[in-house]
Amino acid sequence: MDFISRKEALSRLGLFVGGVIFGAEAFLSGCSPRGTSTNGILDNDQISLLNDIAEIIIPTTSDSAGAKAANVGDFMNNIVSDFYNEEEQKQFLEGVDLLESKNFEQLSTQEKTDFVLDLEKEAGATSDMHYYLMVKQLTIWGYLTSEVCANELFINAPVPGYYDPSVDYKTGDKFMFPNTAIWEANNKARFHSNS
Amino acid sequence: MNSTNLNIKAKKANHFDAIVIGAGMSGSWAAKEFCEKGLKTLVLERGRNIEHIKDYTTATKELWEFPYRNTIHPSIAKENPIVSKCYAFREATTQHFVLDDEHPYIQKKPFDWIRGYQVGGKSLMWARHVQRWARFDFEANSKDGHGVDWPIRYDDLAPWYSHVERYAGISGNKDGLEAVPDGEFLPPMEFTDVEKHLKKNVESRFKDRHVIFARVANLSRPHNGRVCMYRSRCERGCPYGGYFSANSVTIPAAAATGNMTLRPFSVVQEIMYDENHGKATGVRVIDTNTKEVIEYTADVIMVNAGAINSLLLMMNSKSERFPNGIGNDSGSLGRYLTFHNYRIRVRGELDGFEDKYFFGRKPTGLYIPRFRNIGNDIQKDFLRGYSFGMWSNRGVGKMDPNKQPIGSDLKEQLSELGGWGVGMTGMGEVLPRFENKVSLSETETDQWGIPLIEIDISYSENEEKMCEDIKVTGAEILEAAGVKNIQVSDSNQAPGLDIHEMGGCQMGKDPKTSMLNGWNQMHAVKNVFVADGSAMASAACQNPSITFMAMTARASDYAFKQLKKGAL
Repeated sequence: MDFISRKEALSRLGLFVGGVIFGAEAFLSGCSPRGTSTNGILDNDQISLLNDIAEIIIPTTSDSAGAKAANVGDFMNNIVSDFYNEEEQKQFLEGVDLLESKNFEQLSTQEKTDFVLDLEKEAGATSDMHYYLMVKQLTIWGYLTSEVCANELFINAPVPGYYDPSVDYKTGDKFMFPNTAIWEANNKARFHSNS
Repeated sequence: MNSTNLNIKAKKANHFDAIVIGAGMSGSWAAKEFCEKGLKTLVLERGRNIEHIKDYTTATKELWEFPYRNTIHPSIAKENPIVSKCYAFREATTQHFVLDDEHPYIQKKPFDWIRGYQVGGKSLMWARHVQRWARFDFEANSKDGHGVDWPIRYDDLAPWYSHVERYAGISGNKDGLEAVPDGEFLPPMEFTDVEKHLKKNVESRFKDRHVIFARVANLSRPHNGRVCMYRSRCERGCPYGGYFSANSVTIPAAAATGNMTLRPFSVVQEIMYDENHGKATGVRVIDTNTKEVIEYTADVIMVNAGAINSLLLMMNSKSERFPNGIGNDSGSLGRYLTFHNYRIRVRGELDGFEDKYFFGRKPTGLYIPRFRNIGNDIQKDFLRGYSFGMWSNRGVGKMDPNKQPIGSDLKEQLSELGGWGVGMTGMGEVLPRFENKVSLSETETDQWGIPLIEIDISYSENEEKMCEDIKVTGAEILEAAGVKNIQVSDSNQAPGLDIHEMGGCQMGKDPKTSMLNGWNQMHAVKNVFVADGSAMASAACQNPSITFMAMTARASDYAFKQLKKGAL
């Protein structure tokens, strides 16, 4: 049985950024992705750079750590290496090269934010695939499935132990980390939507 | 639990009172019943053993402990297009499913055969809905002439529903509805505010459409040392025994008697038949590790290998007396296969209830029992009926175009609850039709030299017409509930993905048209019983597992009594 409207939830969460589902191509087109046994195609400097950009997309705030603490760069490496097809990998790596050439890590926080906002505009203005959308998608996916996020942005309850059918909620309240109902189902839909 | 010593070849050591083929949903009940009655019972399972708790390797893993956060790797999906269609096949559960090339089959027409080859079978990963079948479900074939008439009625099975419900532990409300009779229930899990709203609105608009809590094999209260912890990770195996599985309930009960010999890695090649005595003598087993062929004998044999594999085994059990498969005098073996039509989905958004959420992950949802073609509701376009599974949930993430798409603004949006979504899946009865069949390949065999099964099953006009009606009533039910932006879709999924394959060795009154009598006993071979899904003469529209379990317990009791009387 379907538990949620998968595509809709994805879209709300920004995972269908620009309507593109990266990585699904590998599965649909018949390109064979790389094996799962190596350390991936990104080196430590690149992972560190991606963590810095991700931190601008989802920063540490007063009550919860952000994407860098969740090490989403490492997660990006897993997915880009193993799920993306060659074309997607190429585009992603070109994007990373471009970011490296901008000395992103040397910028001030405000400059980094302006830089990422410019990327948002640039990616939003084109209907083509844009590497930034890949980075953003993976940042959100990686962060919302991370231990840091479960413990700090949400109430982590892997073994709730009881069921309360009616809990009062207002904007800003923390609520149960939706690990099973939302993310597992969505991520499956994400890569197997045409099956 | 005792694994047979493979080196013992002496005939005596290979003789048992009873053999049960299949250690899953239904076979494990035969194992429990036989062992508790004192029969020395050999339980054969083609897959590996999975011991309760000890072998649930992913049960307590968190999302971030999976490299792909519980997403199936694209290469696994590409190599396994069939099993990858199953909603429950994920990074956390791949070990419980049969990969496509492990046991090939031939699709004469598209059929997604989803399997679990292990002790526990699919009872490890099932959806746990356990609605009893209705009085009218056992009368349907007789009334409209499709399929053969059931040799039993609801009253024959009712005490056995109670028997298995009491032991397995079923949560549910006594709703007093004809379409889903009440049983032995633990208290139901509780309605959310939205679920209460859905129930109230749908029931006030339609007198004959009821929104109830699905009866489920999840424990709302402690039961024999087990209880549901509201994790909703059932398909990984539950270390709390929160739901019924063979692994957590019936297999341990059988083992506790000291009468069970559980033999995993055992593919049964054929049931051996002795013409002189007119009965089955035992089974021929291939050990999948050693490739050794071993014969076991017994006084009574229960076949519970899962519908299609049970049919494969019976068709492959040929003798001079039964050239077309054991017990197959009627020619009906492998015919009248049926399943459930799960194609139609409806969903939409529900305004309001923004100040309400819930805590804990309820491992089930709502259920709308069948309302078509019962009482005064007579449909001209189609026979039989359907039910709905209904869910509601709240989206996580509330995106606001006026806020920044990055930074603390984005984080805030991601950590807020969005609106409520509501949806339903139609679950329709598929008519038992002679044309829907399985047969043995004459040319292709599997790695054990056993013929591949050919599956030739499709929807018929009745199902297509029913789909049209499900679309209409689904939308009007959601509309009555105040749901907006209603979307209706037809997945067009092939038969099989419902994972409710049934029939092919159906019970019936007449040996000329059926395989089994009213006790799941072969008309022609009195010491062979078949009590899994293959025995079903029709499909009803309820999830069928509880009926397989009740039927198996009943058949086991009868077989035991007949054995003691010397009548087998």
